[in-house]
Parts: sequence; C-alpha cells; structure tokens
Amino acid sequence: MTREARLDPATETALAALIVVLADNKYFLGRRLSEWAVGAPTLESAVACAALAQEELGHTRPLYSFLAQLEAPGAPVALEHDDDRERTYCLSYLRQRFPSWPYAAAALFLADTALTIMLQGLENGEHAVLRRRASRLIADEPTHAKFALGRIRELAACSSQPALQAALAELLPETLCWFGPAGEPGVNLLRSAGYVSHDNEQLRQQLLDRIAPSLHEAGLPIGIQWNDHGQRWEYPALPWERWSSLERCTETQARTPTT
Amino acid sequence: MSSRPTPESLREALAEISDPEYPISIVDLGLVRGVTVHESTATVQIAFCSLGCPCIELIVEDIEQRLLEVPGIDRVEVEEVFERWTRSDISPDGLKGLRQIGVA
Repeated sequence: MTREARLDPATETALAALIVVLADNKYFLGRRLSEWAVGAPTLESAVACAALAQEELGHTRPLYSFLAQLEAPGAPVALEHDDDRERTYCLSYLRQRFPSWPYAAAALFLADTALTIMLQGLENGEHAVLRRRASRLIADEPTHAKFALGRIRELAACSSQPALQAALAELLPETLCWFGPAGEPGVNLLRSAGYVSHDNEQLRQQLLDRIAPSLHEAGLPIGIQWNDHGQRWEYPALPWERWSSLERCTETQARTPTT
Repeated sequence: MSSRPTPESLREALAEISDPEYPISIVDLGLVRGVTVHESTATVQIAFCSLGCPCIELIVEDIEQRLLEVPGIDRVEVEEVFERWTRSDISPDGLKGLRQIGVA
C-alpha cells in the first residue's frame, strides 16, 4: 500500500477501528448468508446466498489487508474463523444464525445497505487507497441490494409478512445505532482528515433514504416518518443505553422466535 | 545469449496461463493490470473478476510458476490491486473465446 502521509496515531487508530468494523461485519454477514446456501426456500435463493456469501467474504480481503498495512498498534487480526479473536466488532444480529428466512432477508437488507453507505463515505473521502478499495467493493453491491429488496417485496406480499415486519422492527434500531451517536471523537478525527465524507447522523439519514421508501411501498411500516419541514427522517429513540461503542453493537437480547 | 526479460516478454508468458474456470488467458480476460521487471524480479499487478473468487490462489501459483520458468527471472511478486473488473476489460480474442464456449 502506498502510504498517503504518515497518519497521526489517533487518526490511525480511528481509521483502523472503522476498517475492522467494516471487515468484521462483512465477514459475519458472509458467514450467515452461507448458512442459507442450503436452507433458503427456493433453489434460486440458495444459489444467490452462496454467491453473496462468497462476495461478502471476499470483501473482507481488501479491508483486512489494508488494516494489516496500517500497522496500527494493537489492531485486531483478520478473521478467517469465527473464533479467531476473543472480541469481534459487528452487529449483534450477525453473530448467530438467522432464525428464519424473513429474518435473514431483513438482516441482509439492513446490514448490507448500512455497510454500503459507510463504504460510500470512504469512497467519497480523500484517502486514495481506501477510495479505490471502497469503490471496488461497492461495484458488487447493486446485485446484493437488488436481491435483498426482491426478497423483502416477495415476503411482504405473502403470509410471511408478519415475521418480516417483526424482524425489521427488531433489527432496525441496532442498524441505525451502528453509525454511532452524534459527535463521536473517532469519526470527527476521520472527518477532519477528510477520510470519511459525512457525520454519523448524515449516514443514518442516508440509510433511511435508501430503505424507508422501499419499506413503505412494500406496506411495511417501520415507525419512520419523513419530516418535510426539517428535510429529514424522524425515527423513534434509539437504544443508546444498550450500545457498545467499542464493539459497535447493542447488547444481545433474547430473540423472539420468528417463523 | 538470451535477452533479458522485459515486461512485454513476461506478458507473453502470462498469456499462456488460462483462467482455471474458462479456457481463456488471464491476459485476455483483463486480469493482468501491470507487469514490471527489476533485475531478476518480476512484479505482476492483478485484479480478479470477483473478490471472493475461489481460484485466486491457483491463479497466483500459476503466475509464479510460469514466470519462474522465464530465463533471467528468479523472483515473482504478485500484487492484487483491488480494481474493478468488467466485461469491457476482456480483449476481443477473449470475447471470441468465451463466445465459442457459449459464455459471452
């Protein structure tokens, strides 16, 4: 990797933290999708899950290799197996098997969109190596997004609608938290360095821009309203009391079984 | 006396390597993004069609093996560049080959 300019230690640590979060989430999303390569309700979906899993796991390579090249002290090692590290940095709902197909569709739709938005923030940033790598990863995302939205629409129109609705309601608050609370010092450092293009709340609004219209259109109310006056999406209070800014997840809750 | 290896001669050697999944050379598929030679070290910059391609290690091994057969090369470095790969990267010969096997 061509080093842009020697980063100051605090910025380097913040950048390493962001990269490991992206990589770990992609790793676990890939692992979870791979479990549906043999269990999805249709052969086409199963094959798609295998392909998506392969790509998500492949996406970890440029991220983990960038992390290694950063040489940030204490940076976590790349994951090749779930238990390679004591601590991982991903959404709690990606840490264990998805309990149902509607849950899998909701998780893919939300997590994949959130990851893409964060990568687009890097693609628009000023770190040339990261820009290039983010751009490469984003190139694969339209097919992922199309598949996820297709499954959301399909499930919303059949008897699985209540299960899908429940899964979205369960997973959305953590996904919105994932961008972090407003004014996080690490994100502020990365913004000052020009490596990320938006703050946490702007990224959260971008996620809602991407998902809310599609969910409304599919008849899936998620408690999000557009505020015409404020030109922003309004969402219910987020569970910051359960948020771990270190592991970038909310404390795992007992799951309500969904079918 | 054999001539010293050049990027062009190394590229010709790379053109002999087929993708493990399709009988098309990795050069015609547009995977090879740069070739340099410094003294006896060849450096190949490569992009893959898919970041999750299961053949990555095979391709890297094939490149190393083939270039080490080139007189004057005793070290090969393969550097993945993580660039986008699209259909437009395939050469006319590559497209023709793919059409012949019913892919393109």
